[in-house]
Amino acid sequence: MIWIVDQLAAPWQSELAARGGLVALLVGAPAAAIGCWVLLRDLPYAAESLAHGMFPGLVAAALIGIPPAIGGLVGLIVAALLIIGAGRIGLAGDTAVAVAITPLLGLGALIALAGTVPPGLGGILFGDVLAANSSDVLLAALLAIVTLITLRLSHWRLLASGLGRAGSSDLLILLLLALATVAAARALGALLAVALIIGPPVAARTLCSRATPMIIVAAVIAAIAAFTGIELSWHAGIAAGPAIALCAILPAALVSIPMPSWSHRGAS
Amino acid sequence: MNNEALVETIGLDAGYGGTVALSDVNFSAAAGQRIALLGPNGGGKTTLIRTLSGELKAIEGSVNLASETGTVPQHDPARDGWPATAADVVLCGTLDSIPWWRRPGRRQRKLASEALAAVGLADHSTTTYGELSGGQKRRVQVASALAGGARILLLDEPFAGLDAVASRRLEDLIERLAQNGSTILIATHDLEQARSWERVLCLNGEQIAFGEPDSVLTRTNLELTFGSDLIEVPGGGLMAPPHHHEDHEH
Ligand SMILES: Nc1ncnc2c1ncn2[C@@H]1O[C@H](COP(=O)(O)OP(=O)(O)O)[C@@H](O)[C@H]1O
Ligand SMILES: [Mg+2]
Repeated sequence: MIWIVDQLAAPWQSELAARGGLVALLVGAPAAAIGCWVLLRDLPYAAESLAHGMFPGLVAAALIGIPPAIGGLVGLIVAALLIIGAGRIGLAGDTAVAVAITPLLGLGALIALAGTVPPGLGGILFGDVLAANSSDVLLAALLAIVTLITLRLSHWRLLASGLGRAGSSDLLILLLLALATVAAARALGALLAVALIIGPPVAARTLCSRATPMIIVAAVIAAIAAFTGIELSWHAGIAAGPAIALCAILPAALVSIPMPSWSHRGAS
Repeated sequence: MNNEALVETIGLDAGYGGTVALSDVNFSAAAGQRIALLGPNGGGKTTLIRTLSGELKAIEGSVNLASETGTVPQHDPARDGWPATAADVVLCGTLDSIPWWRRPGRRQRKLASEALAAVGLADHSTTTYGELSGGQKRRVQVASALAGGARILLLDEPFAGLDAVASRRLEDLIERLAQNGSTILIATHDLEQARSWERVLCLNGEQIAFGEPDSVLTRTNLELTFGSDLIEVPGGGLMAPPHHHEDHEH
């Protein structure tokens, strides 16, 4: 028994792992909360694309030596403009997203491979949560507070938007999603960030029929994923980012397998 | 606007993007009146309702309203599987009355639970909206409009797809709301219903007739309204053509 406690406590005595876990928690819980609305409004593809679209920005930031959050944000803005532009020339919805994002991913790889100083491609794609410093913690905490306050204030408008009792709130959701994506990129990288945003809500959706419990359950799953991800990474000796991503997706897989009919989707 | 009228249009032309779909509508309705909107599919019933609710702008003429309007749209606007209870849907009806940064408070919750009780669904407040029957959903939508303070209710084919029992309940509710001083416009295809209400407004791209049922529901007016779609019932009656098949719900 004591042995188990000792084992569980072990990673948290390391400052790097403990700080990484804290960042993952601060990033993951709000990401999962906003992810609930992304899922409910059928926007997961946009979420995935935003995360991938910021890749070249992250690479460029690493090359130039500026904070990745700024690079990621610029990447997101370029991605958003490209998506709008592709829409303008007559491409519809998901097609516009695909046409805009795929070249960005390629462009990021080109910049990364052409650079004389390798910018640490692994870290950019899969995150490097153990390298988080105290300003990362601060930024993550700030974004978490902004996201949670905005979600609380706009909760009823967001709920009404799915009932035809208020205008679409998709722009607000995408804006918060962009914030969450930039924040999650540090911990999980451009490829895995979407795991924290979509994984916990998929599980929560299956377990809850009301919005508020769903959001709380998703945030709790994300928090648990941050904790177990660090444990898994420490004891199994695998990278922390992928370990957290795995733990964030696992509940969705578990609740989907035994009884697909639990799902509330399509029930009418 | 004449004193007791809650809703009135004068020379109203309504339509889409400047194209008139319904022209020259002149009617007024007072508190306590049920007004049947009769017309063929494409006759302009929905267009009139959307113009009265302010969703569409009048192309010509004017719409005068003495109260908020509440709409129960022809097609349920709720997304499949949306995570909201009946009480949530009704509470959302109060959002227009508070600033965007405010959450519904105790006052709004009280209005919502009174509205849900008024439509006879107090027992279903925690039921997920998607799990309600078609008739219950319509009544929840009515409650949502009531919670928003609407005294002018616009019901777009609320009986479409309902079985006899659910229709009866909704008819009773509409009667009670009218007695309590609401003005209720109801798009319907049922001439018997229209005959039992206080006013009838016939539309077919333009206003055909408006007034009390006895004076409006003449063979001439019905032929002008429904054209060759009008169905002769053996034994001497007349029937309006049925709904679009897409309107059916289960
Ligand atoms: N969104 C729209 N855009 C353009 N025309 C429309 C639109 N909706 C309805 N119309 C046209 O307006 C006319 C009236 O339609 P509508 O009000 O829906 O009739 P009803 O509700 O009586 O069946 C029809 O000719 C229809 O084709
Ligand atoms: Mg219609």
